[in-house]
Amino acid sequence: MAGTSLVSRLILLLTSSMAALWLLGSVAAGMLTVFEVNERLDNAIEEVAQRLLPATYGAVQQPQVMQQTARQLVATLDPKALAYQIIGPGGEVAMRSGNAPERPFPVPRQGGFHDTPQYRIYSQPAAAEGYFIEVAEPAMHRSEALLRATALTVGPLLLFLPLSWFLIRWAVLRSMRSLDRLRGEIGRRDGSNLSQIPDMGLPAELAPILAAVNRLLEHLERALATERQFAANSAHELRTPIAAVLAQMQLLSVQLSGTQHAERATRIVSQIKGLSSLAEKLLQLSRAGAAVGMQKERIDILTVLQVLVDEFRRREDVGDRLVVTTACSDELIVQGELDVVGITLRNLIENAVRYGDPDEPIEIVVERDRQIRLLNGGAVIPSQTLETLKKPFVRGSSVGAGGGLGLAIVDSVMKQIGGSLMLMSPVMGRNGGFEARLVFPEPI
Amino acid sequence: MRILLVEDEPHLGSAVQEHVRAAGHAVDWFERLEPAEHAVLTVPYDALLLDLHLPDGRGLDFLRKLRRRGNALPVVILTARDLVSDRIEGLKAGADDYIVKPFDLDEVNARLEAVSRRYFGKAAPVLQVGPVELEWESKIARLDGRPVELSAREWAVIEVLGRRRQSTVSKEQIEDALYAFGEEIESNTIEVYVSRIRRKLGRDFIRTIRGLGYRLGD
Repeated sequence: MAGTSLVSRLILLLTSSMAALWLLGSVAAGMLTVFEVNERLDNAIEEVAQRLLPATYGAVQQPQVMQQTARQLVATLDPKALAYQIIGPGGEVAMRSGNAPERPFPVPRQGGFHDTPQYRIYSQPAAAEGYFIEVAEPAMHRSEALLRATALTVGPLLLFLPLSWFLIRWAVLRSMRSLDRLRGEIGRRDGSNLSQIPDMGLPAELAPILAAVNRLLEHLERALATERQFAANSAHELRTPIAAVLAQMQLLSVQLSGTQHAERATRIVSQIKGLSSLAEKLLQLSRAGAAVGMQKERIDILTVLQVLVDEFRRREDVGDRLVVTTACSDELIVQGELDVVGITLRNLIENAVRYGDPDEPIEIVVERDRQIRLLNGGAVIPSQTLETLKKPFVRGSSVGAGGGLGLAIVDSVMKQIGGSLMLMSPVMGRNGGFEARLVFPEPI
Repeated sequence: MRILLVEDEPHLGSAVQEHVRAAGHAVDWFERLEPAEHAVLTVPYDALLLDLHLPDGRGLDFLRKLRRRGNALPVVILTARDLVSDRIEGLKAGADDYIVKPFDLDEVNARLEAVSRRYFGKAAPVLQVGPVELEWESKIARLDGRPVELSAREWAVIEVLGRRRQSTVSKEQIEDALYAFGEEIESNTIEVYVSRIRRKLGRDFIRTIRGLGYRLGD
C-alpha cells in the first residue's frame, strides 16, 4: 500500500468493510427469508391437507360425487397451483385435483414432507383406513416464490452499496480537509521557511501535531540561529589570535633573516597561513551549513561582486587580472543571504586565484539568465577529477595551498538556495582553463 | 606618516606597531577607544588603523563619530569579521579600506600607503624633482637614473614633503609625522635627516625656507 494516498486507503477500507457487512447481512436476510417462506409454504400445504381430510370419507363412500367436489375444490389447472391426490389402500389414485398427475406421486406412503424433482409433497394418513392425502406444491412455484422473496430482501441492500461508497468518499474527503491544510503548511516549510504554522482551527486529533511541529520549528530555528552566531563569533575568536601569532612570527622571520633559522621561520609563517586558511574555510563550511534556515532576501549580486572585486583587485597577486563583464546594466537580483552569497563568490574567486594560471586573466562574466561564470587559465582538468571537486578536501591541482573546501562550500550553498554549480574544463571554445558556473534560481 | 593604531590584542598590536614603524612611520598605539579619541583630537595623524571590537566600544561607532565631526583622516579597518555585510557596513561608516585578520604585515603597510596616496594626491606613481625621480609604490629613488638607497626614516621625510608638494612643511610637522608619543627625539634630528637626504639626492632636492621649514625643490 506504500505510495497510495491515505484517502484512497480509507475509502477502500471503509467501502470494503461496508460491502462485507452488507454481504453478510444480505446472506443472513436471504437465509432467513428462505427459511420463513419455506415454513409458510409448508404450513399452507399442511393446512390444505387438513382441509381435505373430510373429503376422504366422500371419496370412499361416493367416489363419483367427490370427484366432482374435488374439481370444485381445486378447479384450477394452473401448473403452479397446489395439486393433491387421495391415494387408496392399494396405491391407486382415488381422487385427485385437475392439475395433479394421474399416477400417484412417487413417494413413500408415510406422513410428512417428501421432495421430488417436480414437487414438494405433504403426505398425511386420511381418516379412512389405508387412505393417504398427498398435497403437492410444484417445485417451480416454490423456487419462484423464494427467488422473489430473496430478491426483495437482498436487492435493495445491494443497491445501497454504490451509494455507501459515494457517502463514505464524501465523508472521508471532508474529514481530511484539515489534514490536507496541515500537510500543505508543513510541506511549505523548508530550508528557506521555518516560520510557525498559524492556528487553523484543527480538530482535536490534529491540534497536538500542529503544536508539536511548531515547537520543533522553533527549536530548529533557535538552534540554527545559535549555530550561525557561533560561526560568526568563532570567526572573531579564532582569527584574532591567529593574526597575532602570524604577525609575531612574521616579525621574528624578518629578524632571523640571514641566520640559520630563517628557513624554519619562513616555514612556520607558511604553516600559520595554511592553518588560518583552513580555519577560515571550516568556519565558512559551518556557516554554509547553518544557513539552512537562512533568510532568503532579495539581494543585488552586482553589489556583492563590486565589493569583492574591489577587495581582490587590491591584492598584489590579483590586481587588474580580475576582469568583470556584465550583461546586466544596473542590477541582478537573486534570492539568498547576502553574506552566504558573498562567501560563495569569494570562494570561487579565491579558487581561480589559487589554481589559475597567474599569467592569464580571471574573468567574471555576469549573464542575463541569472548565471555567473568564473573563468581562469590553466591546464585542462580531467573530467573524472572535475566530478570530485565538489567534495570536501579534494583539490584539483597540486599547485596552490588550498584546503580543498572552497568548491564544496559553493556547492552546498548553491543547493540550499535552489541553484547549482557547474564545473567545466577546458573553457568552452578554448584549449585549456577552468570554468565554474553559478546558476541562480528566479527570485520569488 | 604618523599612524594611529587602535587594537586591543596586545601581541597583534605590538607586531603591527613594530612593522609599520620599521617602514619609517610613527605609530601611536592604543588598546581602547577613549585615549584614541583624545589622541585624534590633538595629533594630526595621517592614517588610522582601527580594530572593530574593542573593550570600550565598537570601532565603527568611533569612525562614524569621526566622520560626523568632519575628520577626513584615512581609515583602514583591521577586523576578524570578513563578511560582505561587515565590509559594506565598514565602508558605509567611512572606512577607506578593510583588512581581514589574519593578514600579512606587509599588506598593512601597502594598504596604508595606498589610502595615503589617494588622500594626499600622490596619484602619480612617479614624482620628478629636478634630477631626482621618486617611485612612491616601490619606494625607489633615482638620481640621474641611478638608484639611491634610502633608509625608512629618510624616505618618510621625503614622503611628508611630497604629500605637501606645494607648501612649506615645518620641522615640527615633520617631527609629528615621524615620531610617536613617547619616542625620544633630539632637537636636531630632522636637520640630520635632511642633511643625509641632500647628501644622497643633491643639495637642491630639499629647500630650506628660513624660519618656516622645508619643501621639495624643483
